[in-house]
Amino acid sequence: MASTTVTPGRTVRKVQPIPQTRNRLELALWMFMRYSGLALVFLALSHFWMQHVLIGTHEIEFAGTQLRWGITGQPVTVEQLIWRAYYAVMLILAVAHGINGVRQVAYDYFGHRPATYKGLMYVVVAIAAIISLGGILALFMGAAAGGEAALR
Amino acid sequence: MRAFPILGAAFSIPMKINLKIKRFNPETDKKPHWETYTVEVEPTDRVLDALHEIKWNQDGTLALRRSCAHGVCGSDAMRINGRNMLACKVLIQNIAKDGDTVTVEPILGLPVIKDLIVDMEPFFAHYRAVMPYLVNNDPLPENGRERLQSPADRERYDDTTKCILCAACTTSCPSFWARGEYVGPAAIVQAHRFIFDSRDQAAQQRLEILSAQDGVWRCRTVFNCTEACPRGIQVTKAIGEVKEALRTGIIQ
Repeated sequence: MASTTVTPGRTVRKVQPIPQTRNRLELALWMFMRYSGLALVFLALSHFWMQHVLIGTHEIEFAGTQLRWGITGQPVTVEQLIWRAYYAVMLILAVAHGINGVRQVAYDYFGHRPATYKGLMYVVVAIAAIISLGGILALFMGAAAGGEAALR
Repeated sequence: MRAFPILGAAFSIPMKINLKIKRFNPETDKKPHWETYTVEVEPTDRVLDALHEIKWNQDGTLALRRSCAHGVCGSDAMRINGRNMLACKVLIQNIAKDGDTVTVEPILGLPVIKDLIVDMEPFFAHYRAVMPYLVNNDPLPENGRERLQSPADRERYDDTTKCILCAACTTSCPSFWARGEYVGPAAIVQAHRFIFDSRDQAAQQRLEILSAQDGVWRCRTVFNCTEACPRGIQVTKAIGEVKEALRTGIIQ
């Protein structure tokens, strides 16, 4: 192992990072949980702040989402594109962060029963798919339908 | 206080507390049960003193481990009022007032042998798994003396040399409760002590062991271990440094 000294008296050594290929995924997911968690603190808090303070809990309406998302029949503005990016990032990060969290906990409790763990993961992924699909449908199809209604 | 009876009388008023202890006798019991004892203690007594009072004067069948009784050997880690502590290191005045009830249980996540005594073997198996010894295959220094190390290099892993293997951290970890195969904070602390030792040459092997499925990735940074450590080791920080070494491949 090669030794080089950078700070006075402190030895720096190099090893092969992420030694086992099969656990690159665990490292990547650990990093993802760190960064997505940090991002979600700001995304989710700003979302709640906007909906419940700036707009007001009792004034939340689909029309507001339509306006931000931009399906009023008019060409999409830059502002609406930013909103779309904001919601898309929040939805993707929240679902992925939550699903990986459930995977971790499921492994803790059922890791020693591979069949149960595998079955559970199918259920979890199915739930994730349904949530994602629901979100996409609500944002695109639902918004489009609502937009048409708004135009009438 | 015994040497200064006047001071003792002024500062230390005896008090009565109830000790609610989780008892289990493998020869007669199917499952553990709680038993409560009332003991008269000085506020400056430790929980271990109260347990001694029970074992020596009230109920000799109470089983517990303790050796040095001064926070060095790490034998008497137990769950006191729901938190892992060394019974010999916690003063009663810091956890209870006169008439209060203090609960004492064996540490969680390890099989109970009797009363407060658990089987430490799974814990030590994880300890052995991380190669907790110095590996250096270079020839010995020509002067026949020690392998030298700068004060800065020695300081790097100083915190993790303090571990006494009491298991308070590992048995406070929710990941370990859920999955006993998780190597646990104590073993990672021990690995850290050698990974970051500039004289050691087996960092690669230890990091490979810790990057396995039940290695450091089961840590969810709950910080229970850091709170439980009777030696004040920054356990979660040490685990984080191991993760960082795995990510970057740089040990510094």
